[in-house]
Amino acid sequence: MSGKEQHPVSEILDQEFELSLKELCQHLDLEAELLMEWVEEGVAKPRSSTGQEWRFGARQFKRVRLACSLRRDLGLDTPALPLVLDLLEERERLRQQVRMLKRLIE
Amino acid sequence: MEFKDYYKILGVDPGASQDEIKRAYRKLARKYHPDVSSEADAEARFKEVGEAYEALKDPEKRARYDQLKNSGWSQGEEFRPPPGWTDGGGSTRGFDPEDLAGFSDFFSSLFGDGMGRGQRRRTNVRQPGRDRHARVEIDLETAFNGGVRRLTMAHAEFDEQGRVRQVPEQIDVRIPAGVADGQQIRLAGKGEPGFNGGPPGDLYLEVTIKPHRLYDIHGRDLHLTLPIAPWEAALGGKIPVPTPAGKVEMNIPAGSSSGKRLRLKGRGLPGNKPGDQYVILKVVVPEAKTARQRELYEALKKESDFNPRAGMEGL
Repeated sequence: MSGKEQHPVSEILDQEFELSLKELCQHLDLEAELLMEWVEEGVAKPRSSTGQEWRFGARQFKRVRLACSLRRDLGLDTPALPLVLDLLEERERLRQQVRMLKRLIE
Repeated sequence: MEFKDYYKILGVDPGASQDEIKRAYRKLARKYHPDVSSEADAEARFKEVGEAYEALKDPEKRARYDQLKNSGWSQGEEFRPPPGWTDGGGSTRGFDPEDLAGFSDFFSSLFGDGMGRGQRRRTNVRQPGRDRHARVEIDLETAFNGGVRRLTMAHAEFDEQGRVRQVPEQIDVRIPAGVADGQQIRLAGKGEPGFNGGPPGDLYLEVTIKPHRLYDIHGRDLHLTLPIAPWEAALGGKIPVPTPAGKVEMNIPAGSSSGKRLRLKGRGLPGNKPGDQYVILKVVVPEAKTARQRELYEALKKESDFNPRAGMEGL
């Protein structure tokens, strides 16, 4: 198989992607207790059915990664994080809408 | 290498208190944080500000830097460390080399000694390498068809003397067809190297699709605003519509106004569940340029009882 795949394998994190609490903590160098606090405060919302282990999908992985960097770089504390994350997502949605509406009127 | 005036970068006076330095850093970090900022050069500015803060936030490191700065160096000047310059034990807190990835050679030459004292280095336990996170901006055509993007990243390494140096690294990333805006791509094993035989971490890339001349991207769906003539809007009919895979014919129902949305199923970004392309109609009214064209508008006016402002009466 010489040189057939020259590039490292790229994998899209899609609907099927999920991480356990432990895996998510390992990936982001995060204490499990802090992540549990974040889940309670609405930073991330794991998929869970009763009695089952928490699973975090791609969007939640992104939110938690973002929360880590906002905490580290800007000193945001837990109560501020869900608000900022929600507003950032909202801003993205509104930007898309503005772009589309601009095309209609320009 | 260039001398860096860390005070200038943070916009503070060389006599600023530690508190003022922290406040200035926080303010600039908010402005340029790549996850929050919409400034064009946010990522580079954020790194620069972070490096300046790293040098100035620790009073011992700051004192070492001040000593050098006071000997007459200024921003942008060609810099070589004075003979006999060492970190002098100024940095009591060791760094992991990953923490310094992307910092300038100037920083490494000032504080590069004794950096090998990071906590993770002290143990003999097998430890996996850290993940790396980066962003990649692609155009819609690449998202639609897939492609290869060359990323230039930097990682920090120790040389034989235990000094940190920045090693540029190029990675060719295959962008899978159908990746959506905001989605993440994982490249297993392309993160930081592991310790004591531990496996390397992964590289995660967050994809941004550049704004396109024609299409707006909503998840896997594409939105296209399509100009049509008033008679096309009134009479309906088949008109050609661009899609990323080429032109298709689309049927427009009679009596379509501006803002009407039509769907071309499966014409969005490819994937297990391909997205759709939505066509938003925009009626464009041509000027009546000839006498005959005017006449036809006049005839239509006489013939029609249409009142576009019917809902406004009595207001």
